[in-house]
Amino acid sequence: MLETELDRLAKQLGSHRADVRRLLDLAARSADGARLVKSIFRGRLRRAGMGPDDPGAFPLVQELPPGRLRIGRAINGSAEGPVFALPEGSKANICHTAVVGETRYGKTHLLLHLACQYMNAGGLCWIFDPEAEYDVLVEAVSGPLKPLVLAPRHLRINFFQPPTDAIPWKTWLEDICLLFRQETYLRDGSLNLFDMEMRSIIEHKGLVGGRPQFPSLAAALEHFRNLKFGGRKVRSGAWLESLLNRMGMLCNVFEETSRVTHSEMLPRLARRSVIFHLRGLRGLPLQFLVHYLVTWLARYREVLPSCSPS
Amino acid sequence: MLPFLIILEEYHLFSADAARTDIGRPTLCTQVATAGKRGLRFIFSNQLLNFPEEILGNLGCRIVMRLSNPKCLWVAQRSMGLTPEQAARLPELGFREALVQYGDHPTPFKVRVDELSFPPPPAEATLEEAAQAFLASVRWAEEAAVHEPPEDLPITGDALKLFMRLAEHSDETTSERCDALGMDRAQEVRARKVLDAKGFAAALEQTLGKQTKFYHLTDKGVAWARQRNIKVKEYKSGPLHEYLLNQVEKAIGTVSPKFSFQRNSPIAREHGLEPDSVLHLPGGQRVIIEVCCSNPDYDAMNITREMGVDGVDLVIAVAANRRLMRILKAAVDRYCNEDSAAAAPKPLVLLDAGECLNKDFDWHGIFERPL
Repeated sequence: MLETELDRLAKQLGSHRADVRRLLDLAARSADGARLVKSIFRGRLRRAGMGPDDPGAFPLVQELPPGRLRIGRAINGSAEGPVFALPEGSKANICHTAVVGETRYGKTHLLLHLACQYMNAGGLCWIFDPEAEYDVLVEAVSGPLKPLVLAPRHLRINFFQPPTDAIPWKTWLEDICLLFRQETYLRDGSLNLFDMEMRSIIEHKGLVGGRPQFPSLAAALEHFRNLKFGGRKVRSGAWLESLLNRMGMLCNVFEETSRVTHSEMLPRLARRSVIFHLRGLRGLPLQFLVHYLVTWLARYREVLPSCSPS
Repeated sequence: MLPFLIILEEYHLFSADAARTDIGRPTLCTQVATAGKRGLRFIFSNQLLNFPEEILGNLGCRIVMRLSNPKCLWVAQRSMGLTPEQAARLPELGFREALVQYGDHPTPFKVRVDELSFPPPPAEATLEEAAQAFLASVRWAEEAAVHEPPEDLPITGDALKLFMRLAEHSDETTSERCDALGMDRAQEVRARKVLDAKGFAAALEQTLGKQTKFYHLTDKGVAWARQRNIKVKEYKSGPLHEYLLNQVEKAIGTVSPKFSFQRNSPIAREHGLEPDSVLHLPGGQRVIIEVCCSNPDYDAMNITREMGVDGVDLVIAVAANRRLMRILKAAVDRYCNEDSAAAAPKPLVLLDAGECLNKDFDWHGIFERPL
């Protein structure tokens, strides 16, 4: 009984601490020692403003890993604890972070706080902002590090163009197929049709200056609309219907970018902080665009990892 | 060098259905697992800690702010390894307070986020100007001309008229719609059948009272409307909710011309609550009006919390039908019993829409009693 309570009190004080471990050793030697240690632990917790009999209390924090992005301070009972900064991780283990909570309890405030410090420290950041809440960063970040605010209507990109010339277009086409599969729920038959026809279109277009030419989304859609099947291939017709539906949806939603065949926009955006205003976009087009941009950036940085702010 | 930061606000909006095994794993899951090698760092924000395993497994830091929904609490407790007593503290976290857990130091601890003030955001015109200046500096090529085959119009005549009406006014009953369109019921039914066959319109699952149905555009219908630049009205909580709230306000408004209603009221905002409407009485009393159409458990939780808010004298909850009212009443009773330690609750009036929207309903009786 006493042992369990000592264990609980030690956890609240921080059982990894050397002084707490020493006292636990002392407690293990005799019953009197255990009682003494128990009262020491309880006294320490009380001094820190924590109820020693409160089973729901969170442990005291003595020190936290350092970091450049300060978020706030730890709370030890009723007193303030050490500074809490976002853990930096290492090159081998980059820490991703999740911020969870109900609306209006400070999630966006915290993220604005982080993003502002990050950009001012010279870090690059892409923010996918469905509620248009991050515009304040334009004023809060200084000089050339200022983020650019773009809406989908500003995009001038070709989804089929690989991030760099170093990535073979066939490899990139596989990524696009995966995006169509996972973000627009296209089935295998439609994807095979898409893959096969896109290869044929790009090969047919040939090379200009040693570079393959990519069809725009609208041109690809037109190609698929004109595709004819023999009377017996009934299933192919159904696959084509689904494909036309998804490509038509993307063409309608991203109308301004649907005729672009070649663009330098994304490599430029990869060298600066951007806030993507996604208000008004929802469902599959939103899902597709966000995943497309993340995949594009990941592939781009695979080839050119050290993009610095332009 | 700092890694490239990607912030995904409201993660659930972008997440593909991770439960669907037929489409493989969502792209983000695979990207997150290998992002470190490419110098990418993700920050996700969401209302629930229900990320797919690949994301949960690669989180180096979890920051949990206030949670009160029992399901959310359970997920957070299980995912962060909290004791039940610690999980019970999550609804008590205040504004800017959070519970933090590191990947390599699993003991969670409490933090208070610094308070910062940001300058006001720039005007939309300034942002647009910057975006256009950037566009002007980018090179891109466009397809010279793309031939578009003419598309057949799949609906015409009465069906098109009905479609347009539903796009802008799905918060009305069939007879109101018939009056507005100058159609009789048979014409309306025929037109609705055409929309139904095309998959453009459907009835809402919930009815008002026993049998009053509401119709709205399906996702396919909305997509078709947008393609043709037809304006589609969006309702925050659905057309039935909007209709019912309007009717309730109208009915209460007949009691006294001095009554005023306020939507998006700041009352209870600091408690994370958003009442459907707040009625201001001439004596300075405030009455919260809640309308329940589809999620009685969630509404009951909010109603119970609203009853405890200072400055609120009465809560009137109207359920769309009798069945919902019974469920709502049981849920409110349950939440009230759970929260018996809270401040003395304000009076609650629970009504069924079928009963209270009747012309003979005695609204005066509710407001005659001292609040």
